[in-house]
Amino acid sequence: MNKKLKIYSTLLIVAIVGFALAGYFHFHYETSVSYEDEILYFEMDGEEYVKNDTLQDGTIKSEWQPTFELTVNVRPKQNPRHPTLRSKDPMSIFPDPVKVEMQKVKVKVPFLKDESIKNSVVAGVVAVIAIMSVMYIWIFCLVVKLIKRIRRGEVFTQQISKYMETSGILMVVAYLSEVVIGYIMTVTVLSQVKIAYYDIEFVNEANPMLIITGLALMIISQIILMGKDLKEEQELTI
Amino acid sequence: MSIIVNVDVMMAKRKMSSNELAEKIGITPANLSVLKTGKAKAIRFSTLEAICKALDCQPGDVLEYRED
Repeated sequence: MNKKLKIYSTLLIVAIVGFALAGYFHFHYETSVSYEDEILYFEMDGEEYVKNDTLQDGTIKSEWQPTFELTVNVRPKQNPRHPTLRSKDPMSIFPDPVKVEMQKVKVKVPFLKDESIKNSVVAGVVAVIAIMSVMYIWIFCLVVKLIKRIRRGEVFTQQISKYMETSGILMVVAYLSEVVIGYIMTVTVLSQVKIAYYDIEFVNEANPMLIITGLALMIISQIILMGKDLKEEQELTI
Repeated sequence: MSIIVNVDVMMAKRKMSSNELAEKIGITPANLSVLKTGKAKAIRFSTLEAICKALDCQPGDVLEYRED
């Protein structure tokens, strides 16, 4: 068996099992913190989106603080006293914990005050958007080329295998990039925002079909390569 | 490849042209050329039988094993 085919199929199995397990643990989450734990209340720093400065001549200078909006995943803090985390069984002194799911909330976060950090963050976001766009356009072009060639009757060729493998690798890279970007964004939000009674958590929002399709394409590329060898052998059998 | 096809040697011995042999064994001259140049990956028993019949020889006269 082809070495690459072995690696790709193993990766696909790992990805599928990983998603199945992640899905189970994501939706079946129970409170587990001891009864004595205190609920902590966090407040925002009181950031103003419009900053007013009174100058020496008495005029007021308003400085607009740009913000960006993000959707983050939160869930109630793991505290048994929280009413949303306990069932309301009147007969029980310590009601059973209930299962809670993630919730999505939109937060408006002000940009960092430090100009150099702000510029680097903006440059980073622009670079990420540009790279992701290039990657998706590249995948689209490869898929179009692939379909054109297949419609021309070319199936078991080196080029088709190459297009499939490249688009598969790009899909996997795009998926991993989305995961990393999502994680960085969550960490960034965590450094600036606290929400009372809720924990902001990183949730992998990237579409799992992207990596599964990518790995499947990589596997098919290797099968096509094997098919190409068989076709050549068949054609050169006199 | 370590299997050498000696069809051209046998053809020269029998003074037979490529087109004539191709016609006799029922393959195209292009396929016969593939066989003669050693590009072929495999040969069917039916083709080998036809070649042996046309050239009046044994399979060992057409195919030879040489170590690389």
